[in-house]
Amino acid sequence: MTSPASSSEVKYLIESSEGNTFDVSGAALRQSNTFNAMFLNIGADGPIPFTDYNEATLKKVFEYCEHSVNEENYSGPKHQDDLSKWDLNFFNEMDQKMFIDVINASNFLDIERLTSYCCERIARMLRGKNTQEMIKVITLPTAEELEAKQKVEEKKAAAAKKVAEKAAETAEKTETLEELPVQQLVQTTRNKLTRKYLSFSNE
Amino acid sequence: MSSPFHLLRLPRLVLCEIFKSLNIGEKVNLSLCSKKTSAQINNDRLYSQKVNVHLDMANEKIDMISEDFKDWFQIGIHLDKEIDSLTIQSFSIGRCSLPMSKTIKTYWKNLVEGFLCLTRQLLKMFYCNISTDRDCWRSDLFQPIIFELVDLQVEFKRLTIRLKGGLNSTLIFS
Repeated sequence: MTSPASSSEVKYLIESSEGNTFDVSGAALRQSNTFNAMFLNIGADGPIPFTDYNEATLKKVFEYCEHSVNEENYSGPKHQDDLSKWDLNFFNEMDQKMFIDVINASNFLDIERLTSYCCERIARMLRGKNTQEMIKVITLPTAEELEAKQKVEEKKAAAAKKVAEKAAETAEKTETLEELPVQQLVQTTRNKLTRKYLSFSNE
Repeated sequence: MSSPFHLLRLPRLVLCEIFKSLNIGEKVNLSLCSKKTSAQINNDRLYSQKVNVHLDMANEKIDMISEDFKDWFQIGIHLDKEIDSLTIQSFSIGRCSLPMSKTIKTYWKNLVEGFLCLTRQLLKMFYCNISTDRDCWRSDLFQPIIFELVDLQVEFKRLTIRLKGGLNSTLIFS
């Protein structure tokens, strides 16, 4: 089932983050450069794990791949206006969360065509807008969020500093403990030598 | 997808692709949204378009034109003592009102500081070739700005300097 082959009829099993598996045709999978680099030549025993992405996202991505199998070879990014009706429907029926998941999966799988269409779609959201309009379109952290984040980071830094200080203290203590017998030894030998020297000089 | 979009949560390569497809004005506007967007755009300077930056001290503006002359953007630099920080407003030249996305107007306490700050920011965002107008040397702003830019070792496309004392004393470096 998952042997290396150039035939488009070969099916590969894909494993999602939920642990579910589903079939994807070899022709569709070959649009992913990541897959080509990892499995095409060596094959895969058992399901291919793409466990960072959920089943819905992976199915959506491979739905696009299956659809674009029959299209002509990809020749650079298309303008959004050049998209077919099917492509537009494909993008329009996604909510924002799914869209972001699809971009992430497409980026990981390195599917050039899908990634470039997604990028074009986002660029279109920003096109022809001034700064204030852009701020409304893209979510930027508010001053309060930034402050809260800064506080958390400060707390983390303080905690890390405390840990480092404790570690340094314990290290110092162990050093002194290790050094003590040596110092004592040196001191006692020094005392002995001075006593001997004194006894010699007295004689 | 009418709800706000978390642009900065996207992978860096995807962001780079998005920035590549934006024009000069859109990139400038986006960089003014926040420090983070500005930093992301600066990170992708390597893949940005080459831009001819024309410092027009006489008319107090910076013109940016792409290498193929298909795209342009203008930043007006104006003195306003009442405004403490940089503010951005829509900008129009005379009667001819231009599209908002093609021009912005900035207000500064000090024009030299405005020119330098914006030029430094543009140098971080784009591959810039800096040039000045032939008559710019007459402006009081010319000398401090050019001195600072020479110190920054920026690439000049065209620079006109007036030397004192000579008859034909204007030099043009291209």
